[in-house]
Formats: sequence, C-alpha cells, structure tokens
Amino acid sequence: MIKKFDKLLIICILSVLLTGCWDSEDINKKSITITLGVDYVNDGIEFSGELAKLRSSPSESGEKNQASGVYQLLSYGKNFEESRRHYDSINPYPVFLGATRVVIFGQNYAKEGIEPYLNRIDHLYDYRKTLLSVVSRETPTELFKIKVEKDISVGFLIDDIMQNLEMRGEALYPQIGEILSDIALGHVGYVLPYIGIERGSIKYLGMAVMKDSKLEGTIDLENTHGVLYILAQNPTLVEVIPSTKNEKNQISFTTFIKKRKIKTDYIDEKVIINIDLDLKAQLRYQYYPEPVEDEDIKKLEDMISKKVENDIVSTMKKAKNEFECDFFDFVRYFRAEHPEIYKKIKWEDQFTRADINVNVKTKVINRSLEDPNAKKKY
Amino acid sequence: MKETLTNRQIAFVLFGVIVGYGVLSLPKNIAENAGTGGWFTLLIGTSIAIIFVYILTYLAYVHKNKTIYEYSNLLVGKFITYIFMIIYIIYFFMLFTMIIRMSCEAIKLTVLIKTPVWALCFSFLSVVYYAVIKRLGTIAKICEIYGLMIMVSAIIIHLSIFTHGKLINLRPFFVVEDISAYLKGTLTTVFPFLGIEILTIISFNKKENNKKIFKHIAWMIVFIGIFYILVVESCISVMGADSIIYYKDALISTIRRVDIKSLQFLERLDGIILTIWIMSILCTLFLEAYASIFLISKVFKKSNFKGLAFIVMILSFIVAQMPKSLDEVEQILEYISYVGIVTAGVIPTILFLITKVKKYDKKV
Amino acid sequence: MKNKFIDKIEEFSKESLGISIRKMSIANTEVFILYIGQLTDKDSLSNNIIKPILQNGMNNILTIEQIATSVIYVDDISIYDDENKMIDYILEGKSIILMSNACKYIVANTLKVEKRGVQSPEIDTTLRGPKDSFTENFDDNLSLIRYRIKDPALRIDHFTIGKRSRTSVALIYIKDIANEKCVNEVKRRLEDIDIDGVFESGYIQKFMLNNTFDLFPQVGIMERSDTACANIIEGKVIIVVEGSNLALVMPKTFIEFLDVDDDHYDNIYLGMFSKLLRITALIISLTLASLYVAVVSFHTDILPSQYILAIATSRGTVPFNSVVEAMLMEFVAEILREASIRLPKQIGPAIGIVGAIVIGQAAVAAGLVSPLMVIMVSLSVMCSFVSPDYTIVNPIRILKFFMIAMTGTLGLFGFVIGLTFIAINICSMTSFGVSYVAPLSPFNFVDLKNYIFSDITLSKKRPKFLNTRDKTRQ
Repeated sequence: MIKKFDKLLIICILSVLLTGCWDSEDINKKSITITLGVDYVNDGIEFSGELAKLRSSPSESGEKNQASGVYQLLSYGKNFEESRRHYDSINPYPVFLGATRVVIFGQNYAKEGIEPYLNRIDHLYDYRKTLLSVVSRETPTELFKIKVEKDISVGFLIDDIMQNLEMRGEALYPQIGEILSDIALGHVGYVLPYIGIERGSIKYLGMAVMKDSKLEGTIDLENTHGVLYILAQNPTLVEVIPSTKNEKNQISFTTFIKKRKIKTDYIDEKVIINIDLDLKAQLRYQYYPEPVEDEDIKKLEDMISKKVENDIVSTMKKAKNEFECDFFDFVRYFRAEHPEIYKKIKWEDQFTRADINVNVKTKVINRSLEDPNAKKKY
Repeated sequence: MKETLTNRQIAFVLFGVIVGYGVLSLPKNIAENAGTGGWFTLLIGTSIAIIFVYILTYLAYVHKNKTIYEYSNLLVGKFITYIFMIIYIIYFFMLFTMIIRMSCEAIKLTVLIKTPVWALCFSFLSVVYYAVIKRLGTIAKICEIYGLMIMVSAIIIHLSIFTHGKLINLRPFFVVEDISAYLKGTLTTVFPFLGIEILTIISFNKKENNKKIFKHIAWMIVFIGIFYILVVESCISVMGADSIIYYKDALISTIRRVDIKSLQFLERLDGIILTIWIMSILCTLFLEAYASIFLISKVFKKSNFKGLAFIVMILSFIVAQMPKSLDEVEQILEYISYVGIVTAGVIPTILFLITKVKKYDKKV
Repeated sequence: MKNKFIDKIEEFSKESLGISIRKMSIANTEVFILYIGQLTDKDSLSNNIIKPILQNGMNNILTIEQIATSVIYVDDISIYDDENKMIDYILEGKSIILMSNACKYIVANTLKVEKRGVQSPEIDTTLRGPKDSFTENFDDNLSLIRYRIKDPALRIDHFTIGKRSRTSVALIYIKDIANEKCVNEVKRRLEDIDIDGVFESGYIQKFMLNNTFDLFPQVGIMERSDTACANIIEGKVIIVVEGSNLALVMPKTFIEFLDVDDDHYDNIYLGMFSKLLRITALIISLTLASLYVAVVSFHTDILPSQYILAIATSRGTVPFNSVVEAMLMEFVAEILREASIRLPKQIGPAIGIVGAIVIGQAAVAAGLVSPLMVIMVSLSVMCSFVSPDYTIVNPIRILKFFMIAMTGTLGLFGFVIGLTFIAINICSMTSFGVSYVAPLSPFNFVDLKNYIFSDITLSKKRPKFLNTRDKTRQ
C-alpha cells in the first residue's frame, strides 16, 4: 500500500513540475532599466530612463558581450501607476529594475517631495535599496539627450562619477536605504548629489538639501567641504593655504580625518553640539619651493584648522538659518546620549536654536618625502 | 529501530528546531518592543530558555531510553498522559502546518511572486515527508550538516553586514529608565526560543548521552542567544531602529539595503540568505513533523509509520490551505505560540516536579 | 577388468564435454589422464606427469598411491575416490589420473589460464604511487596483496559464488583491525548470493548494497593494489573476484570517495588543496547549471548590475528559455562523454574535436545557446572528471538534471528543496553500519582533520567511524 502512495507522490511531483515554471522569466526577455528619471511635468508624473540594448542591430556586425548601448524610455501619467501603465503599453517586455544604477529626480519633482517615489522603491521588490539617487537641475529627459562617450550611458556615467568622488572622499554617495532610514527617523533632512549640464557635459554641481524630502536649497561644490568633514566616511580633501612668508606662494595640503567626535548636551533647555575634529594633513607641494621651518608648520596647522572650522561653521549657519533643517544627523547622536530628553523636546525647533561648537585640531604628519629645508653646500 | 543520537547531534537538533522562520521578523519584533536595548531583552530571554531546556533535558536524562509518552505514563498515569499527548500532537501538527503556510506566503511575497501557495506547500511537504520516513537519525544528521552550514554562513554574512552598518544606530545601548519596557519585551523574546519541546521526543541513550549533554545543550542555547543578538544588532545597525519596525521581513529588507562591493559577484547577499533561511525552515519542519507523527504512532501503537506520515502530510496540506488571509495565519501562529509555552514550559515543569518528589532521579 | 571410473570415462567421451583423454599402458595396467586442453598447462602435463609415469611404469608395478607420492612432479595433488566429483575437478582446470585397477584417483593441479601480465592502472591512474594494478587473474591479485601485507593476521576467506560459473571470491581483511560486525555482515551477504554466474565484481557489488535503488555508491572499486592494501590496513574489507580486475572495498563513506593516494604521498599542503579542489568541483558539477537557471530565470537581482547586463547581452538571441537551454546542453555534453568512452582509442580524439567545434563554436554562432552556457557546461563536465573514483560522479550526472528541473520550477527555493532531497538520501544511507556522511555527522573533529590533512604523521588514529578493533596507527 505504501509503495503505491510513494508512486502517487512521485506522479504528483511530476505534474507540479510539468505545470510549473510560474515565475520563470528569462533575463533577456525583460527590459533592464539602467537609469530612471522621475519628473513632474504638466501636473503629471513623467518617467524617463535608459534600457539596456541587448540585441545588436543588424547593421552592427560582430559579437558583442557587453551592453553596447541603451534605448531611451519615456512615459507619462497622472501618478506612478498610470505612468507605469503607459510604459507597459508601449514596451515589449516587463520592466526589470534589479540592475538600476541611478534614480534621477528632476528639480520640479524634488520640490514637490520625493518621498512617495522613495517609498515606491522601498516596496517594489526588484529595486535594490542600495542605488544612488540624485537631483538634477535640468529635467531628466534633457540629461538623457546628451550623447555620452566617456561611458556606456548617462546612468553609468553619473554613477561612476559619484562612486569615484565618494572613493576619493570628495562627495557623498547616499543610498536609498540610508535615506529611508532618515525619513523613518524623522526630524532630519538629508543631502543628495546635485547634478546638471554644464558646457554640454554632465557635471556634479554640489549638494541638494532635502527637508521633509522636499528640495530646500543647494550647496555649491566649493562650499561642500563643511558637510564632508562631518558626514563623509573618510574625506580626503585638498586645502590650499597661502604661505606665511611669501604672499605669492601657496601650499597645497591633503587632509584626512584622524578622529571625529560629536558630543551633544542639553543645558538650560538648549541643545549644545560639540564637534571635535582631529585632522591629519600632508604637505603635497608648494607652488614655489621654499624652506618650511617647524614654526611655519605650526602656523600652517593653525591656518588649516581655522579654515576648516570656518567651513564647518558657515555650513552649520546655513543649515540652521537658511534651511532650518538638521541634515547632519545630529539627532541620532543626541538621541543616543540623551534618550529621555529626546522624547520630550521637538528637535526641529531645538536645532535652529542649538549652540554648535566646532573645534578643529590639525597636525601636519609629513612633507611627502620632500625636504624643503635642505641646505645647499655650495 | 532504535537510533541513538550523539550529544552534539542533540544540540544541533535544538539549533535546527529553534532557528527557523522566526529569524525573518525577529529584528522587527525586538526593535518594536525594546528598541536599541534589544540585546538585553534577548539575554534575559536566553536565560529563561536555559532554565526550561534544563528541565526538559533533565527529564530525558533521568528517564533513559524513554520519550515523554513513556515517562509521562510512569509519572502521571494513563489518562492524563493521553490528554498531554493530544495537546502535544495538536501543537506540533499545527505548528509545522502553519509555519509551512507562513513561509510559503513570505516566499510568495518576496521572491516567487506568481507561484501559487499550494505548489510551494506541496514541495515543502513532499521533502518533509521524505525526511520523516527516514526517521530521526537521518533528520539529526541533516540538522548537524545544515546547522553547521547555516551557522558559518550566517555569522560571516551578519558580520559583513555590520561593516556596512552605522554604530550610531545601535545607540543608546541601554537606558536605565526603560528597564520595565525591556522586561515586558522579554515575552516576545521567549517565542523565538520555542521549539525546545522537541527534547520531549528524543530518547537518550545510556552509553552515548552522559552528563556532558547538559553542557552541550546549554552552550547551544547560549550560542543561539548570541546568534540572535548578532542578527538583531546587525539589522538595526543598517536600518536603524526607527525604520526596521515597519518591515515584517526585516532580515530580507536589511539584506537588500546592503551591497558589499568587495565580494564581487556575491556582492548582493540575498541569494545566500534566502538559501540558508529556507534550509533552517526545513530543519524546523522536519523535526516538528517528525515529532507529531512520532507521538501519533505512540498513541496508536499498531499503526504503520510510513502510512501515518503520509496521512498526516495530506492533512497538513489541507489544513495549510484553510486560512484565508495572511492575518489569519499570523493570528493562529500567535495562539499556537501560547500553547507552546504550555508544551515547553508548563507540562515539563509538572513532570519535573513529580520526578523530583517521587525521587525517580535517585532510583536510576 | 573394469571399474566405475572407466564407465565414467566412456560417459564423458559420449557427451561433447571437451575433455581430452590420454591413455597410457604401463607394466601392470592402463593409466588414463583426463583434462581440458584449454585450461591445462600442456608442458607441465607432459613433463611432470606423463613422462615420469611412462619412465617408471615400464618396469615397475605402480599403485595409485605410489604414483602420487613418488612419481609425478606436480606440486598440488590430492587423492579422492568419489567418481561423481570428477567432472567438477576437470572443469576447474585440474587433471585427473586414473588407473584401471585402482579405486581412487589423483587430482593434479595443472591449471593454466591465458592472462595478461600486471600492468599499470587504467581507471585509477595516479601521478605518484605504485603502478601495479590488479589483473583478471585471481592468484596474481592475491599475490599482490600478500606480498604487500605480511601480517600473520591477514585473513583471506574463500567463497565460490555462481551456480554455473563457480567463480572464486576472496574476502580479505586483517583480523585484529577490521570491525567484526562489518566482516560478518559482508560474509553473510556473500553467502546469501544465489546467482548463475559472476563475471565482474560489479555483480557482487550489487548484492552488497542495502537497497537496489540507492543512488550513491557504498562500495568502492580498487584497481591499484597499493590502494587496496592501504584500505585493508585501515580496517576495511576487500573482496577480490576471479576474472575481474577491480577489487571491491567496503565500507566506504561519501567523502572517502574523494580521497586519493597521491594526497597521502605528497606534500601536506598540496593534499589539502587538491582535496578542497575535488570537493568544490563535485559541488560545481552538481549545482552550476541549476544555479545558472535560478539566476537567469528567477532571481536575476541577486547579481550585481554589471553581471546582469553581461548575462543578458550574452543571451540576447537565444530562443530557448534557460531551463531548456541548460537541459539540452547538459544532455549534449553527456552524449559526448558517453561517446568518448565507447569509441576506440584511435578515433576518440575526433569526438573531442567534433564536440568542441559543433557544440562550442557553431551553436553559439548560430545563436542557439549563449556562450556562457557553453562555458558552464564544459566546466561542469570538466569538474566531473576531477573526482578519483568515477562511481561517485555517476549519481551526480543524473542528479544534475533533477536539480535543473527543480530549479526551473521553483527557482532558488526549488534548488534548496532539491538539494535537501539529495541530502536526506545521502544522510539516510549507511554503508555496513557506518554512517555514509561520517565524519561530518556524527561529527568528529579529529577524523575530519585527518581526512583533510591526509598526512600519515599527523593521523595517529584510525577513523573513529570505522569502529576498528585496533584504534591506533602509530
């Protein structure tokens, strides 16, 4: 009897196998989206983007094993769903978002608030939550029109630029996941990379400050140092300091963060934030070689400290007065240190009134194997 | 057919049965109840679990070569034993059926969107049936091998997730004022340890299972506690305690927020996590299904084990399709876990006390 | 004067049994020699039996006992009187000497079988290690073992199996090492065999299994005598079958199938490395194609985006879905493999060229399969050649398709389910009382370490799972 049952089971499994393959969908039968742009045009949502070109057109001969190009996509609708329906009705294959590198928000849309789309990304399963999102000065459609020769496509170009800058510590690479955590935390803003077209090519322009997921303002590339010193994982910035002796001469330093300490306190119903930065600096070169004595180094160290301090303080001022939002995540530190007080206060109000003390110390650790003080014998 | 398990195998059986479906939503539950101080609640939960595991192990250790059916007969008589057995059988049966349904729903909602639930249930049940008819010895071996694989890969993955998390998300580590909340949260941390009642159906062998068994099992529970803490903390470090509470599939959501560039083509960890998660569910299912069928076969002495297993599987398949919505399944699972406190805590404690009072432990 | 033997001779000559009868007349009587020409060493027969009998018998009166003790020169002789057993002795290749006036007969061993000499191994090839492999000759095989192990505790139990073939089978083990239970179990199974004929050790192997439908082999095959001896010393039981150049070894667990003597002879690091390599290769050959299916058709998003694009572009023109593609290509690869075994050596390489060109180049150029699939298939076939004992790869070759089917239906979930089915099957097996997955489960750290290091100086003890009588090596 049992033998029969076993056979029955096997037959059942076979039938499942034969009727199966519910989810099987080959990757080459999907539209692989590399970049997606979201913008707000004429009271409707406009999706634009780039799809990987999998089949080389008959004119291009030869085997190609790398994605050689992209198609552009464009669809409209009153909301995401309608826009998606529009997309589905003009494209042959279902969309696949697992390979998406960048989501570009147009400035118009960013001003309206990007949170709905971020939540959409969060809950569409095939979207990665590690992708980059940027705000674009121009509309995404304009960006996609640019012919890119340096990389495979616009999306790849933006992603590669940002990755490179992040690696060198010159920019932030905020992933959707981190932003979602920030939104869930509340009370804080966040910054996104701000890009645009300049002289025909795509350029990283600076940072876009988002408050309540709405574009509040931008920070120019020159002024991002202050943000980077606080937020970047390991910022490696170049600081140029005029020489103490010779006005014409400039000395170029690379700075690294040795220690970054953020302490918060709550005294007299006022939030106090102390930022201690320990910097290491490396003398790269001088515009005109001059001897650098130990006293000069001391002076230079002070100058670097002062400069960095000014950068940070001015950014803080901007954050407090202009944007009125804490995009430095200070609230996390405050909550970690004073969880009880945190429950009682309203952070947004407190932050604008907070005292922020910045204290920077710099130490020049080397002169990059060069000896500017060498004595000539003759 | 008497099969003896080594001490290590029994410890791994515990790992297999305890770590399973619950890991998916564990970070959410802990963060919801105790915030960033969740590690403390888990520690308390672990120590409570150790007490009950000690009771269960002691019962099995004193009553060598006996399972709960025999020693309960000896201690409380036939009638009460039958009541106990009915509770256990229904508990084990419902537990594994509902876990199957729940896992299928989770899989359907995350990876296999178009696959019908019955097909997933069917594949689960067919592999469970195959394992159950090979008996406990084989299941223990599977648990040992899979357990090792799960442990090693899970620890590596969670440590590497840590490197991508932010330490600031884990703070405050401990808030003195919240201690009452932590203690309240302890109840939720006991549920992930349910499954220890599997020890009631494992009979110890005089030669194989000496005093060291207590040490093995205690270490395993401590390990599971630490493992849970690692999972919870690594997930919170990436998502933040505020964000994670919105995700029932906290573990998978966390994984999808992490790309580890240095691992090259393993950069995205979902595949591995999904694999080991299904493996750990399978271990749980094997043991619980085996427990229910084993106890039924004890009650109906003359029945054929294979036939019984087949009937139970078909029943389970039907019962698994019954709940109409996910919420219903969750509701049932919650009720079952309350029964679990009875089966893992109350009944063993009663038997333990009787053993102590009647001094059976001295006689052996 | 006539006796019962002469009647028998007449009976033999009537039926075409192929028995040669040599009749000699000596002083007092007539002597008959019965033998089968094809099985007999004719030189030995004429020089050691016929010649002395004729020389002595011309003048002296000889009795049968005298002939046996002081006339013929053959080493292995015995005297019997049961006339019904004569035919059996003759068929075994022995010569029978009869006298018309005696009531007994002499059986002299003059067996000679055409055989090939000891040659180097063909399936169990090795870089380092002795090259004398077993041959089809029973006595040669035993002698190869005997001269390697001079332990007085070495036991060789003889069995005759096969109602018609009457094949000699020897069970070899060392008495104070091998586990008694295991030896008795093997003996019992050998005695239970009731079969017409045994022509290869494969027949015996089938009878040694617990269950005919077990997928994985539990009995190892040995071609090289040094491997066989190493296994005997380890506490295992070897079966040598007459007419088969492959000895059987049991019990054998899963991971031991991936063990090679080279590992033990060579540098410890190389041993560890190649062991790791073999295990990985086995896993790759089982799972690669199904993982490909899982990635292409189900969970593409588990790969980084560059890889997704690479896979997608390489599959751009492929008309099949990935399951069909994988099945098809694996099947073609298996055909190639089978063909290359069956073909004569001279045209064997041709199949390789045809396979490489037809399957590799043309199929890709025609856009029927993706180049990636070709790489995967050839890799998985290559991996299946890595393992030393080809019998362990056979189930993998079949299970590969099972895995593809499971993955093709349910994606990664089906992959795990399929893998678990296989794991349950492996775990539930025992090889003569030894857990098939030992020492992984029941876990034994020392055994596992010794297995991976495979260095004799470090492994002072025999594997615990074999449960041998003598537990230490050094």
